[in-house]
Amino acid sequence: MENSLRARVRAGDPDAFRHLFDEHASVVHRHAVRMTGNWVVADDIVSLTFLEAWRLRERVLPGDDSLRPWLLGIATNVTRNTARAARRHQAALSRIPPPDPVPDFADEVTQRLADTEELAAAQRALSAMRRGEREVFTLCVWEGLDAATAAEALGVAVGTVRSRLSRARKRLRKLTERELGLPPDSRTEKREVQRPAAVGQSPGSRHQAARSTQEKKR
Amino acid sequence: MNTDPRRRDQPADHQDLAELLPAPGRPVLAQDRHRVLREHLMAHITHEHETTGEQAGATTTPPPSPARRRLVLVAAPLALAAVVGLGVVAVDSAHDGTSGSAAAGVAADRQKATRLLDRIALAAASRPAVTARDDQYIYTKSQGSAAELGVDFNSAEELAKHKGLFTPKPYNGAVQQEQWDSVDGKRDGLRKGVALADPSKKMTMGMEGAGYLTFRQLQALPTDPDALLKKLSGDAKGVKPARRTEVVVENLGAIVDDATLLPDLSAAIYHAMAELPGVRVVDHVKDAAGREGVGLTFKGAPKGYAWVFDPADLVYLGTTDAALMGVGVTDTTGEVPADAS
Repeated sequence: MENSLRARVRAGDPDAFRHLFDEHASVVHRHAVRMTGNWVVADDIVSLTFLEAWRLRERVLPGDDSLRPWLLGIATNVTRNTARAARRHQAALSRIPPPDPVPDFADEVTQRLADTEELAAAQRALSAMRRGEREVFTLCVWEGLDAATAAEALGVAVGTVRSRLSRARKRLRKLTERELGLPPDSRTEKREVQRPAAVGQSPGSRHQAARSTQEKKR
Repeated sequence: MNTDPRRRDQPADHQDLAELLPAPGRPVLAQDRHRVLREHLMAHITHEHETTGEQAGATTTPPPSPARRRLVLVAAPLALAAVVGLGVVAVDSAHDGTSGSAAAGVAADRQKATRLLDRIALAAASRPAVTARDDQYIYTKSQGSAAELGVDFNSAEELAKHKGLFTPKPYNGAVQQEQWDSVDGKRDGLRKGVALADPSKKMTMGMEGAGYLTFRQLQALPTDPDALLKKLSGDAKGVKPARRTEVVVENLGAIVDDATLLPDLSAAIYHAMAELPGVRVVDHVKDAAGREGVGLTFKGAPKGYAWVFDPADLVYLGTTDAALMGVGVTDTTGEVPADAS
């Protein structure tokens, strides 16, 4: 009988955090990859999310609900301003060896290559949305949170979530229509491989600037 | 286990959205990477537990609280192979509820803080403005905990010897740190650190890329407090109202050192701070170099944390974690300006 994981997380029980990590790291990672379209950044976001979770553990409310939405909310905040989160956890982050630029297993390489186009295409679509819409969209549609849970995870009103979703829907429809209006072969891979243009408000843009030094070192 | 009944039938609601833009790819966190990241998290957690335990016993020094890392941090945290700013990330718990004070007390606190901040802003505004060329550097000299100032004495060679999971020991004593940041952010900067108690412990580290905001960007910031607040609270929007002050103060704190060269911006920072709920005066505090002064802290701040000002002329002295010992402009990295001692 699990004596409320939430209570143990609040109390700072290391085993509870190990459990939390094992259970949710892959989802946080998936969310991060899809939000940013960037594997390396996603790795950092996973670390930062759990470091933030540790820091904020006393804010976990009692109950039995899964902590996944809470973690996804933190991941979203971290993605929004990775530089700030990294500043906060500089010491801890700097101890983590950077991920291998080339994954160990051939399967993984193949999968990543296959994903890259899809991710880039999705980034392009996401960049048509405002940040808030993008956050709500990815949480509700891709991660399957309901509006109330997403609202709680993001610290906004349920109505806000709903209206952002509906704006996202409008934007996507417009985008789809525009795509359909294009000559057929310009829609295919050629365009999709392109990296999306960095849009002013996209979470990528600030981050990319912030990361430049790291890219140099690689 | 899931007690929210809505959740089960909800996804249908988003079906059309999922069709418009399906979730891309099948990203998987590789098992070995999962393990590495988890062990680092666990090392961090355990380390912090031990450290906070030790601190409970020792009363000589206030616990370092890098949770409020004084900016400096150039934005490439992971690239710091040779750098590794180590240390304890102290738990900023136990001060979420400053519950004791009644509403009247809060109002009085606020009034006192506003009055002090007005005086600080006035004093800051009357200092001379400093100009700098694009090819120059902003020099800051600080003193405080090694972790807070991103100073670490492990050599790169030493670190390179360790493979995989390895947690180097943080340096626990006070350090002096000097930093040079390119004015326009186009040149690499430099950070030097030395242990106060042992001058043989030294660190020199190249700072690649621009910092949080370059001096040029600081000059371009609005000097109207409201506009400045708006500009610097972008990342506080999604934050719960109770935590907003914390986030905004951190952002202001990230520029306050360099802003001492820009009187109008300094004044705007202090006026902006006066508008934040939860900011209050702490009468007697010491900065990280032991200089006494009048302090400003805020709701959600790490225990004992405050910005410190000279009680006589209200000059910004730094924080309880990192004292600001000098600021100036230089032509090259490594050069110490004559007027910033």
